[in-house]
Amino acid sequence: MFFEGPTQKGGHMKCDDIKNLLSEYIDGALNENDKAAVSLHLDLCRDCREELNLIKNAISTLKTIQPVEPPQDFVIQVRKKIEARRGLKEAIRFLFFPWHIKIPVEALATVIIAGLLYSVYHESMPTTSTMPIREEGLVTQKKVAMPTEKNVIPAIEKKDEELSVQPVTVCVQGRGLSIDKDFAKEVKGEAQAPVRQEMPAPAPMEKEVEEDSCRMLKVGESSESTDGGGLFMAAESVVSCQSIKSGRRRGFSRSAGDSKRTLISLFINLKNPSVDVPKIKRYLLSLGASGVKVTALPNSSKKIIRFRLESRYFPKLINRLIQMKAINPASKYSNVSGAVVDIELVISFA
Amino acid sequence: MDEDISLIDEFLQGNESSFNRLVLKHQKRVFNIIYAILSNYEETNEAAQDVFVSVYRSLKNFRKESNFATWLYRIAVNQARNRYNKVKRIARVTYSIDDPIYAEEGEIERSIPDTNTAVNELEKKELNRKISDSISQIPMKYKEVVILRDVEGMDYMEIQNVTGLNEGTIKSRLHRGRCFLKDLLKKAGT
Repeated sequence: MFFEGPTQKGGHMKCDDIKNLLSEYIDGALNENDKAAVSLHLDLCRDCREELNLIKNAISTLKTIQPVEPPQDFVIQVRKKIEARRGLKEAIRFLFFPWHIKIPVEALATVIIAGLLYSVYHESMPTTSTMPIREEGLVTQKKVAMPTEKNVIPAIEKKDEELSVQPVTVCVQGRGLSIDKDFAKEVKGEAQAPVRQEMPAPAPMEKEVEEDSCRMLKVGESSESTDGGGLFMAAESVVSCQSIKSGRRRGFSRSAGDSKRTLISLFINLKNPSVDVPKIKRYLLSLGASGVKVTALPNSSKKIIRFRLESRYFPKLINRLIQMKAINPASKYSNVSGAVVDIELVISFA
Repeated sequence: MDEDISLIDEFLQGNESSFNRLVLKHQKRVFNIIYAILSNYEETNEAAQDVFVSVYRSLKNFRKESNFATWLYRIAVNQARNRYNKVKRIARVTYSIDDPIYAEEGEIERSIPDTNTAVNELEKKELNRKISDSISQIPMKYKEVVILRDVEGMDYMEIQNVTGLNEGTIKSRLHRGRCFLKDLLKKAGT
């Protein structure tokens, strides 16, 4: 908007231009020319005069603000803060100065402590048992008691790479023999046969048995899975337990869905079948065994109890059978590997 | 200013009480600069303490040819700016009922007034509140210049030293800030 008045030579100033100079005009910060121009404009322009008064009023209002008093103990508060930060600074200085000495030392100490903690943690972690095979007893892990020269049959490499089932292991009256696929590769035919203490007549396995995957091997005989499941050899009469339940593989015990499960066969003697069998069954259930099934062998007085048990309860089962005098207490039974194990108790009645 | 330099010298020679006297001398002005920007007493208290802690640690680097007050207020304005940006809601907070109200005769009590004098005080309090409200709504970059000029009475040169802005920017922001305030006060009926 242009003010209404005589036009000045050199152009008249617009109201917007004047308004932008009002603050400086109030502060006395304009040069003489601009000051005169603004004064002249203000004499003639009511709008700009009103704007000037409003700005002056705002400034005056600001000057009426009551000052605020800081807290009475402000100096003390400042002092406390200074001391607190000084303590922190000194702590940092203590920890990190001089840099070239303290940082490497502290880094090294950290690494050492971390390593110690890791090793302690690692030691405390449970490991799976890999007890070596013994001459007697039940063994499920990687070593094998090799037969004598006469009985040595070279192992054939396993063919099925997928098969990771634990080896067949059998216990013949406290004697154990195990062969696994890895060992099968290593066998050179020079191992010694386990010492035989007893050699009960092996029980024929009938096909009618529900999970009949076992057959008797004669001494020196080898068994090879037709589908490349692996090979194992018998230094004694043993019961080989082939594929179980899965129906897919033979040669090594295997249960569907658990490539790591071990099959264990235990030959036990009981005196009173009508009492002892239910007792054993109840005990198995108390250990949390699953799939407990008692089957009678046709044309035989023998029975088989098959079940699945967590490996950690296997020693308890052995102890119980020893207490019941079902197995030879002098026999040594190794721990089993894997989380769960399939067991069959082949019961002969005295 | 000579007094400031003497106190600084004494402090740098190990006299801690000289620093305390320095604080006592400048605490109110620092406090009010920050309070005008932040409009919150507790935040102002924290910020003002941080200003003097910063001064304590930096005094050994202070060049005595400079004006100590200008240097101090620069730290105060920066501290207020940082806090303002950190907690932007503070600028929106209106006058707090818990903030102390000071008149020349001291703090005004918050009891129910039953005298004419008390009514006048209440009106003063109300006016103060409206002004503080209006100031808190001015954008930060204009507000600090307006506070330093119209509340603290600094000239353009001092404002330059404190804010680090050039004169042209100061003039421009000052004008914009005053116009903002003018409109806000008009709206508030003051």
